[in-house]
Amino acid sequence: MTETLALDLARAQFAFTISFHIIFPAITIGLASYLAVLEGLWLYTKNTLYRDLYHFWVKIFAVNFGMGVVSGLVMAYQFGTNWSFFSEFAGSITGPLLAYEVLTAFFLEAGFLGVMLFGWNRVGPGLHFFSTVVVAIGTLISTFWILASNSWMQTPQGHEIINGQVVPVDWLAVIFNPSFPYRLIHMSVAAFLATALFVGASAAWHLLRGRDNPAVRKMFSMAMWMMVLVAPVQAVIGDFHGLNTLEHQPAKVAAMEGHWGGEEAADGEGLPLILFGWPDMEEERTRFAVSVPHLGSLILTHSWDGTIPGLKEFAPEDRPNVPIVFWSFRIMVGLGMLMILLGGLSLMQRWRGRLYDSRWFLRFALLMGPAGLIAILAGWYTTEVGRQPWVVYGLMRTEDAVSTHSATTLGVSLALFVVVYLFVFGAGVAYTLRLVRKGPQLEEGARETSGGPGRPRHAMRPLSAVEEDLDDDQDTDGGR
Amino acid sequence: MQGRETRDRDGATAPLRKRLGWLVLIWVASVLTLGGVAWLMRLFMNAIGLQTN
Repeated sequence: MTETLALDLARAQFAFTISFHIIFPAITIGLASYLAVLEGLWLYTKNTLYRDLYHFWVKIFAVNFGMGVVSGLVMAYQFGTNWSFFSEFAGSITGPLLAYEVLTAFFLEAGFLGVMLFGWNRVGPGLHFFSTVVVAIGTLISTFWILASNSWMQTPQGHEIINGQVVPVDWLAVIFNPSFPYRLIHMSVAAFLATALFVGASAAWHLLRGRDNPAVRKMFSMAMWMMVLVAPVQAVIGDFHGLNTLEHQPAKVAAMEGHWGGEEAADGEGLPLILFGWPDMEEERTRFAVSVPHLGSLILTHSWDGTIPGLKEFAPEDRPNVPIVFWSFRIMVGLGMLMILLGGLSLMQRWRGRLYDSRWFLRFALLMGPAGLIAILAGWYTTEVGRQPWVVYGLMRTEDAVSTHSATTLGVSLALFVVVYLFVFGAGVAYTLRLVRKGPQLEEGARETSGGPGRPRHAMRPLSAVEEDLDDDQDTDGGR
Repeated sequence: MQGRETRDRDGATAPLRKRLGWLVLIWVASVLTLGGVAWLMRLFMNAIGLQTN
């Protein structure tokens, strides 16, 4: 009983800290590429709106980057403190992959981030753009290594087990494991969408308050084009990812669908798609199911009457927590559909000439601001809870991976994490939102700024690169 | 001073060698700063008894 509680607390601690963490790198990945696009467009078109937007978003990027680094450190330590048996078992694979990520973060992201923040007046536009592009590529390379490590835990290959420890025998097979390409693309695109929604919501907030300027319109327009073009593509990527999961982790897909086996008989033929319901793990059925006949077959097997293994085909001790997987998957998909709707409505409003002044549409864009991040969290809950009871799928159970700490130790440290995180990152997020509230300033990049090497005020850390007086709000219109 | 900085910001008039020098200097300073922080953390961890095998 106590051991089960300790295991649950260790899992809760990891879930809490990584849920906080993932928000920041997701925005970092998206904003880095957005900044590269903005600076490239400025250099190509000479339109200073892009430069002004760059100066606005680079400050938010710096703060976000700092919070991502700090919250990410905790994850690495937890592998050693709370999951020592996992680290002993699989560290020869996960350790090097995470080390590559750290090297990338050091030499590409952090190094050239310094040039981004402090080199504007020193290195010239071409080299500065080069630095921004390198940071953007660095964030994607970091994503590559993190996703390689996680994907290996989902679909392990390229290893042998010698004396109870995983030993890599084929690094290419380890890295390019079967689920890796799908996860990498799905997560990267999710980060772009989450950032676009954040940018779009920021612009919508300013437009709703009457702070209408060409820079705000430009970033709103760019964000809505992302919804139009990328949100539907993400749905297709998700479909491919689902088919890959069905091939390698069928129990996870059965939990996502609330499919226990036998639903086909009730329907006559073909697998229904259960839209809503409550999976009951005791009774081994999904209660109150609202389903569409044959749609499950169409989506999962791309045929009219195809079927998939039901949860009853797996021993009860090999099944994940079905209600969590079932509902987190629906939250992710539902938000994805709302993103597609937002993109479609933006096209309609653009065509009607009402993109920037339709209040109901702007409110919808504002409400969708956190949707990308919530969808990312829901997607990760789906895939991580869906992998249970395995920490390395088919090789090591989660209960065998946890360190031998007492429930008291884990409970107290979890409580401390909650308090410290809410204080530190709550303040960080509040500061970010205050920066957003200030809004893009026209001709900001054309005037001299303080700070940076050789300047009267030396900015020594990413957070201190934010030099604006936050009280100097852009309330020229009375702050409506 | 102000005029030189303006030229530097616009980029075209500063010699490439000087601009590359600033790029390398800022890059090295950034990496060294992060490395210093990582080294301090390692010292702290060693001080409280955490060691590698």
